[in-house]
Amino acid sequence: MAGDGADFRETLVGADCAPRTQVAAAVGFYGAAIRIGHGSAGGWDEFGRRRQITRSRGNVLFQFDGEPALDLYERYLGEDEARGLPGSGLLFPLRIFDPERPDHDIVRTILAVGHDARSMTFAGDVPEGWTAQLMRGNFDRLAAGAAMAARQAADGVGPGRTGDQIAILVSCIGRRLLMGQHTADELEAASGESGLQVPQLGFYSYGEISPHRVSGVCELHNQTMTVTTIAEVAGNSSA
Amino acid sequence: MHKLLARQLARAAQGSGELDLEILLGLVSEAYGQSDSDRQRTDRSIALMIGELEQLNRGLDQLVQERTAALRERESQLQAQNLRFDAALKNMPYGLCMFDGDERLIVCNERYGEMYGLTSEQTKRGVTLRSVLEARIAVGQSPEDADRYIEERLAEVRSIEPCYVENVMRDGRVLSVNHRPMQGGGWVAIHQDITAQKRAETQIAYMARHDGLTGLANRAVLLEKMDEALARLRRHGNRFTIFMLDLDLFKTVNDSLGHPVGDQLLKIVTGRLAACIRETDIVARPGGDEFAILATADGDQRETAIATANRVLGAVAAPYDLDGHHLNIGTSIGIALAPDHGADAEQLMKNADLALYKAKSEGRDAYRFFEDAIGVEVRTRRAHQTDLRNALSNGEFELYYQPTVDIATRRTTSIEALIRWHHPQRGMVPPAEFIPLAEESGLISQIGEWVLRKACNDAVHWPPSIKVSVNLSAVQFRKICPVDVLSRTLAESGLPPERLELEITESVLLHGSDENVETLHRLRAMGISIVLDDFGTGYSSLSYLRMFPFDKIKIDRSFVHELAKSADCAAIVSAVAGLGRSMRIDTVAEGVETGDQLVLVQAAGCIHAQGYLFGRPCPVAELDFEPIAVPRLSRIKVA
Repeated sequence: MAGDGADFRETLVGADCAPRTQVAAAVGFYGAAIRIGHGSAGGWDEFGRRRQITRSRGNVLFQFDGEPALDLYERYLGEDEARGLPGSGLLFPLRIFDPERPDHDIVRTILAVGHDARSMTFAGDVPEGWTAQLMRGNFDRLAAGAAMAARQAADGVGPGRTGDQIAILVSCIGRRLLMGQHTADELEAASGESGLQVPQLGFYSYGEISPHRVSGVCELHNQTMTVTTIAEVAGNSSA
Repeated sequence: MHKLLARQLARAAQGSGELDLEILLGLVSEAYGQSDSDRQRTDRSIALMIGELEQLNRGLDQLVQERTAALRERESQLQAQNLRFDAALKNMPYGLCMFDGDERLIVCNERYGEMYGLTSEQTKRGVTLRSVLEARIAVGQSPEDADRYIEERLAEVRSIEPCYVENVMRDGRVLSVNHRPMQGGGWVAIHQDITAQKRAETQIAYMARHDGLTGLANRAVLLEKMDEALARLRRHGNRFTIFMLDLDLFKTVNDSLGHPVGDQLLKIVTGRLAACIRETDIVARPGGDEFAILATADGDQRETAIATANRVLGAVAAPYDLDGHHLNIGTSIGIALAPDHGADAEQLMKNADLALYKAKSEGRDAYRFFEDAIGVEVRTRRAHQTDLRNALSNGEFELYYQPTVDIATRRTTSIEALIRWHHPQRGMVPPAEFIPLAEESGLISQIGEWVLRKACNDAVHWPPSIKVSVNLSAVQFRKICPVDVLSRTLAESGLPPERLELEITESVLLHGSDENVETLHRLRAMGISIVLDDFGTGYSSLSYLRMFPFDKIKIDRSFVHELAKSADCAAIVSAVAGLGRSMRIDTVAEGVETGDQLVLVQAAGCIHAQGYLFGRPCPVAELDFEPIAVPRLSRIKVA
């Protein structure tokens, strides 16, 4: 699998063939001895006022509180960084939620901007009438978020595991853009969790898929560190 | 050492283990750059956020001010509304109070306190319903059982159903209360002074049961009282008697002297009737000039009833002075005894009515007890009336004719038309039976007109020297206009008026005499002869002869029958004949059946004679206009 950094133009997948676009790869595990744990967390801080999504269509957002969404982002990024849109938009992820269910919040990340329509395209739906709030990152708290995801994943496998284990760490490109040389902080924080003293592998992504921490329903996340642990219970291996 | 610097040093020392200063400086510079961007971004976003929050704050401030102003406005509106509400409460004609779910007074108006005579202390906010009720009873309300009244009111308001109650005050006022539960507990009650309304209702109820003029019980109340009396009869054996009364000639009083006088008469009669009975008995006025008495009977029921009836007859018969009009009025009474004459109120009333009918038909100013025979008789009379009504259209009537002859010449001078009724089942019905019925039912006018028409039509074919004689009753005189009817009938038949004789009895002159005398004059002016019939019976006042110059007087047959045996009769016949001669009025002896009687009436001076001797009444076809030969004339010595 390969992406193109913060350009968001093309991703390639090679599975039993030469790498190409429009392909998905899947790996399945089976057997009674398999144990899988998962954790997903951002560590982003919400800031500023809550805004209402007053106009949107699918995953394209046009207006907050009657004001073009792109105007808001450009104002917050400043002239220099605004030139780096859509990539620089990842510095301010968007937290959205249905006002009827405020605890079921989702973080959306920017995929593209439409300068003419003053619109922004997100990696997931942004329904009209929902509430939105900007988020910003503090290195320490982003690292703490990564550590929490690692802890959740380790706990998910549970105690008593004795066989082989592996941890897959997937972090968002947005986190890396923000953290720069501090990127290693979140890896250290995740790896430093005592339950995660196992072989690890990982990569940066444009979105993470994991069960929601509240609902348990598997869905697309943005701007998170998502950790999955796979373990095999000793004496009954069949992977 | 900062962990980032340690990491940079590690990266700068990669490979040879030598620290590559260029790499290190590059990393450090990049980190500073990143840090600057991060700080600048943070600064900007914080500044923006502050700006936004300030804007929000200003918006909130404005909103607070707007809301505060709106609240103040609302408050002043509420105050104004409260003032209006207070004014409405104060000025409404009802007492109003409102209690909360804990049965404590929330508010009441002044009128409420005034209605029950409560002080402001007794009606201050927060007092309990129980204490208000107790205060009301202490001051002026008078329930039969105070404790029970309070418990009932409390139970009512707790039932949370709307309810209505009427409170009677010691001063006689009646106050109505309407409870309506309110949402969220408690209730509102409207108190209204309905004293006037109650009085009006009582008055209306009284008026519905009593006659407005006399204040006597009406028919409905009478039936009710009879039902009660019947219940007492069944339980305790208390007999009672029903008297139905009808004022004789009341209609004449009403018509001639006017309704105010009639009303006055009814009031006086009411007073006299009340004086004839015991307090426990009841006088009622079922309608018009009808009165009824319901009297309990003690001792011999029949004897007591007779005594009462006689007292009533005497009391009603006493003279009346009504605005200067001196009147004598009689009454007829029908009596039904309970239980002998009926098992229920309707039956008793009906039978008393039948007895009254009988009393009236047998001559007024009398009482009659109900008997089974009366019922049969009245039913028969009613059946006959129905038959009579059909008789005219069915052509069941026929005229028979009986001649009157000139005693000297034996020639027929006039022929009297006499009506006969051929009843399909009963055969020939005598006039004495059906004429009173016809008069009673009013059919007499139609029958009389038929007789006149038929008689005139028949007589037109007779020799011109022979007149036709038709009887005209007092009732006919009253009910029809004889002048109009006669002139029309004569014109239609072509009979000259000079060939018509009208026979009337003295009763025509007895009632409403002035008008009738006037009519007689007009008839005579037309050329019609007027004959006084049945003279000698009744009053036979000579003043009648002075009131109208009759063409003929018919001496009643009863005198002629007795002529041979009674010297008095002979004297009367000759006196009347003599009177006629001197007043130039022809006399006719009626009922001459024998030659002897003819000799005697001729000797007495009578000019004409009528009777079987000259021919029985016969159909028109059998009439013989030749001089009548009297077969045998014996001489009888006049005693």
